[in-house]
Amino acid sequence: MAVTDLNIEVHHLTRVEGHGNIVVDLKAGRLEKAIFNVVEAPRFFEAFVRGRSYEEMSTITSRICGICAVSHTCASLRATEAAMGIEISEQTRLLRLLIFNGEMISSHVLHFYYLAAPDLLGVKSVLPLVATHPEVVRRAMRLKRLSYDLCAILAGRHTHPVAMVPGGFTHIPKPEELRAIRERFVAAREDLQETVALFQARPFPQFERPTEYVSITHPERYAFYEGDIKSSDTGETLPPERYKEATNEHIVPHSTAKHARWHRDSYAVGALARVTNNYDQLHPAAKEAAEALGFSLPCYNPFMNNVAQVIETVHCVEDSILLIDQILDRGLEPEEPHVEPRAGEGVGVVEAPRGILFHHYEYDDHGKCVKANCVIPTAQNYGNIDRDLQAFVPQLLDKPKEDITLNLEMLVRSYDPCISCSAHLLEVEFIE
Amino acid sequence: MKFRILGVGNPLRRDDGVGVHAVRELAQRDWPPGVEVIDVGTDGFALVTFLQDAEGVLLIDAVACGKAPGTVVTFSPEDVRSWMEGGSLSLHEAKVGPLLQLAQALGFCPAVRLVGIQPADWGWGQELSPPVAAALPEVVRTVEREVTHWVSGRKPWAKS
Repeated sequence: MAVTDLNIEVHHLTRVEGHGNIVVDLKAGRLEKAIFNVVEAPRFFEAFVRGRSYEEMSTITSRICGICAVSHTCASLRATEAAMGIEISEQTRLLRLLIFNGEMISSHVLHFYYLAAPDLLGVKSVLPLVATHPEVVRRAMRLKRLSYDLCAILAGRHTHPVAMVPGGFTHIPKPEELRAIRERFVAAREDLQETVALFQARPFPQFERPTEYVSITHPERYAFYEGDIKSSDTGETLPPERYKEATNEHIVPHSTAKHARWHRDSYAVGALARVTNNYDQLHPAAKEAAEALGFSLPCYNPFMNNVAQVIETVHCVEDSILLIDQILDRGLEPEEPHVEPRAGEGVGVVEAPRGILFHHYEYDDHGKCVKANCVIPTAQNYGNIDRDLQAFVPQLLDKPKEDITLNLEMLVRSYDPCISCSAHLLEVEFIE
Repeated sequence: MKFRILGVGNPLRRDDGVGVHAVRELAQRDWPPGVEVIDVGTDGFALVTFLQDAEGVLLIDAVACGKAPGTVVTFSPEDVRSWMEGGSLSLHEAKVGPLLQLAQALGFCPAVRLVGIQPADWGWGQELSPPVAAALPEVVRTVEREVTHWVSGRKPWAKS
């Protein structure tokens, strides 16, 4: 028999990046409330960077997120470069394209292996998986390390990519480093086949709710680093500087983060949005993986974001091999990025692993930041998560409460929400 | 031999970033071959991969252990009774204690030491609080002493 009264409050949902609560209130068969409640500190970014030099901006913003440091760095650099009219070399462009692949793999692997896979394999976290599925955890660790090492070769390190500055790279990788890591990418194909097999065998809940997908798009390649803003609803595109026409941020009472809407009440960003908008540009191996995983367009099941992440990971591994070949064929040359600071305004738009990310800066004559705005992917997804919860709850009412809760948690986790910037100090009690 | 000095934390959250501040200092110094200084930031699972092929690891992090702000504590995982589930404690929902367990379960078992600094303020901001900033030289000295100890072969670390 279906439930008519239900009260669910999941405080500090685990296995998401940061803190959020799920609240569901059903009275006499009527859904009064189903929301994802964000309890993180409000955005601090604007105040933080005001008065800072253009040289410091990407260094500061790379710390906004420990998982997507490259995305924040690149969005920041592109905003600064747009504001000051800085041209970058083709070599810098290729190296940035390559490092984006590293970050996508790193973040996606973290999500679909450590945060999502435990649900599919019926355990609470990744720890018990070591006992039951050690090969799964080892594979995840190998892929994670590979992506980390790629970022380290290119930018000094992933977490805080020091070699990336306005105008280019202060450090160029050695050809032998690139050749060595290329071999590891080729070897990773086996791990990817196993990854596809794992997710093939574990179906996600059936739930669909048509929505609008927003991502960047580029005429020549599957876009992470450069492109215009695209809506799946209309196919229309906007240049980066008109991003506010797409995001239309507004305040809602239950969240400390702003919500976004374009052609509908809400839209979705992330891997599923990108795969939807740019499917044709995926590497053939990624399309094969999509077929093997039963993925087809249009896809309005938010749980398939996990699958879209697997598909993108395959794409990124193959694309990295191609990019390394292209970079080695051109030959690497040292760069000395030089910038004459000047007043201006610019927008940088990239795809972070969790979706489209905007940085918008204004600089004065000395290259000091006078105004900044940063729209993160997870904030754009909040409105869509709420509407999914509201549509999904009524479909679950014949299940026990624990099952309902688990399904709702999995739904929110599918968006891979990154509620950003938690402090994470260690609290310990010593044995006296 | 590989020995890693890992700074953990978010330097946009004041004292939470003390591990990263320490690593910035430590990276300027000369170390014996095989010693690496790494800024891990807040990427918890990267931390696990850094335990993979190391013989010894020294973690520097803000540690709330009920002492006066700026107090430097040096300890081993075995000295800890509980890794608390504090409200704001989120190495992206992967806490240092469980991460060490995960590493161990995977067979990555370097000797691990932690140098912790009691924080005063982990609100938004890039500057360390005065007591924690004042403790940085002691953190650096402590790390140098620990590494010397390791390199000279006197492991496992004696209880301090």
